[in-house]
Amino acid sequence: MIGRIVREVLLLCALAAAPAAITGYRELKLRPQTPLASGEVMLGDAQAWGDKAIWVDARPAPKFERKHIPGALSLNAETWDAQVARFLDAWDPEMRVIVYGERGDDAAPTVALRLREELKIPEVWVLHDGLDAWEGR
Amino acid sequence: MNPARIFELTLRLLLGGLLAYAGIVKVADIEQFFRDVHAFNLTRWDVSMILAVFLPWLEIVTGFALIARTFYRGAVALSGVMTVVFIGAIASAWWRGIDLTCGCFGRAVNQTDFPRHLALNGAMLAAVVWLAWLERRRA
Repeated sequence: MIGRIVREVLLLCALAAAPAAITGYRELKLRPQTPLASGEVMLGDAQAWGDKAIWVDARPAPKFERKHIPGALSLNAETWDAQVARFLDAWDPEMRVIVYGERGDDAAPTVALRLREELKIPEVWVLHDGLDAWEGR
Repeated sequence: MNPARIFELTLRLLLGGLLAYAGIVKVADIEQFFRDVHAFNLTRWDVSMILAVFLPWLEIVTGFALIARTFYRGAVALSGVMTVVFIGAIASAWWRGIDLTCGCFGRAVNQTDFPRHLALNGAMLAAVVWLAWLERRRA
């Protein structure tokens, strides 16, 4: 009886896998991709860095309060002076910094530039497509 | 047909219909369902994407298998496994204080009322256990 149940479960999974593969192909492969700019990192690569990276949300504070990547710190150009100390407390020289904003805005590249030039942090990356990538848009 | 058989048929059709409906509304907006799955913070983004495209179809196939009583034992087993996973995920999000839309019924339900969702899934699990018990008794 167990063998029959397992066979039927596998068969039902296979039946579901066929349309799922078509849906997945349509959702993933046909979606237009914007090219990777210099200093940008794809979400999957950034996530693979795990706890060797610190995430920085470069969007304005109200947007950060509404939603942000779990564990990210808020650090944006408008309130830089008030927030930078907290960032430096959390940052470790061994860590990479991943800055994100929203697709198409310049908040993340601006903050990334300041981190590189003012704080002399070499490993600063901008998340490609920002929070939209995280949310799968 | 005796009342017990009518009740079993009703339960089977309700459970199958609910699963198929839940799958269809998710397939209609896979991107949104991906965001809902990922919001649980339980899986990497690539795993969330695989779940987002596979799970709705598994619900549809399982739902229709229950309704048609085809590959029935497998469908009952899968319903049970999926319901247990849903209960675990919802309870875990509630425990961690994550404010999310569970995506259980796509955009048909926009705000997750945790106790209500757990109660619904608990009722579904009870139905699955009962159907499995009936099937085992017949074997």
